[in-house]
Amino acid sequence: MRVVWLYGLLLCAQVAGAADGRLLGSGGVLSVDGAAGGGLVPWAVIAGHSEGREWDVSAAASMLDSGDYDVRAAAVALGWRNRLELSFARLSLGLDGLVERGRFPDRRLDADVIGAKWRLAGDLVYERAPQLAIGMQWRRSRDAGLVGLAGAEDDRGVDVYLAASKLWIAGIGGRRTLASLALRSTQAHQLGLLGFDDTRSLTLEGSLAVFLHPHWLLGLEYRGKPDRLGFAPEDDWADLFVAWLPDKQVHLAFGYADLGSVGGLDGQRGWYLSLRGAAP
Amino acid sequence: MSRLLLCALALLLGACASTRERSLYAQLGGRAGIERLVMIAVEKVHDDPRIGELFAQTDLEYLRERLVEQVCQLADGPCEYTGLSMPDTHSGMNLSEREFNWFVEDFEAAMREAGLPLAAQNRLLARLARLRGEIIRQ
Ligand code: HEM
Repeated sequence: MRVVWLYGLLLCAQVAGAADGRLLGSGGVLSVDGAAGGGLVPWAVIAGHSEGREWDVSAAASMLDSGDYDVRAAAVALGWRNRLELSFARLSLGLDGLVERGRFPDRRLDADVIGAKWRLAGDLVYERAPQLAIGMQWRRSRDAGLVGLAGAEDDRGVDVYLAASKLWIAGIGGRRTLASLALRSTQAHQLGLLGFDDTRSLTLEGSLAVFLHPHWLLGLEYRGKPDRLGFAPEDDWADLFVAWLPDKQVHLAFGYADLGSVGGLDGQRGWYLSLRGAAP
Repeated sequence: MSRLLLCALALLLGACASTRERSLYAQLGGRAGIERLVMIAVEKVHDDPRIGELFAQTDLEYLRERLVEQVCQLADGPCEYTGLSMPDTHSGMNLSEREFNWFVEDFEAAMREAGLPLAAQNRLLARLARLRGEIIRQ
């Protein structure tokens, strides 16, 4: 249903604006949180391909199955003049593994993320220095009562991050190569799906991605995570992904992610798939 | 998972080792290869509805000759560029970042059509990209 709504929105945007002022792939895909970047990690890039006075809208639907859990994410992001990105994502965590063990009522845990990102300086491709961006993510659990029972101190929190990204046209093996780092201050337990802490943690995230072919991107990502929820240790995340970018509208990412321990269940890893569309 | 990551890294590094043994000029097919590439590229740029109009008054034969010299020189070939400086020839056009990227896309499409190896395409493009600051907003 949500996906239908998203693509409806894309169709509307299709009538409105056109953006193809930047090179293919320079807006990344939409991460689970809605920010443009890799699958799990935000980059300093603005979503879509806007440049000059252009703007565009991207939307993505993602799913991941880690064995005991499944994560679904739907996101939209507006990219404005290669300067500002506004995004919204809804995350939903299915808890089959916990429900089967009788540790949790038969429900999903949902969270919303409203994001804003501002390109501070630089150009991803054409300048020696990396492109820099600052971002904020206002996160809110939609299941305040349940995450409270599970031990979270709060049902909302704000992330602030600084990202630096650089693309070398003739990088590794003469292929376009992108490296990105982000430093984040966050209160969220598992992206906010398990609620929030009162204290902040600093985490480091990074990606390395190579265009093996103009339309095929191979990438590695690492997302440091805080570990402050007493009953359930939280691990750093890592993933390996392949993205197919046939054109500036459609990007498809397919990956294998290791989420470590989630909600007291160890060894959560599995495949994920993310389809992103942009208008027009 | 960590084994997967290692495996991917090894693949990337492996790809690294296999380039750079020939000069870029040779990889582009020497003078003849560059002439062919420039022929295709100028045609693509000229036919591109986004930027083609800018070349409406241009002497395309002259442009091709200068571009061949320039690409040849950038690729460390035995040529000397005899045209105007980049700021001078593009002055008054006030080219935007978008227009530069569209030119790059056309040029890439031309390199693909000319059948150049991807690493050679990217090495040439990286050298052209360095000129951006002298070309846009002049
Ligand atoms: C790295 C990119 C570029 C390179 C290497 C390049 C190179 C050149 C060269 C060598 C000339 C002829 C110089 C002379 O008159 O002696 C030229 C002219 C011209 N360039 Fe570029 N150029 C680039 C980007 C662009 C872009 C992005 C545009 C517009 C979208 C553009 C539009 C033109 C036009 C219209 C002329 C002809 C001017 C005239 O008719 O006198 N160029 N360029």
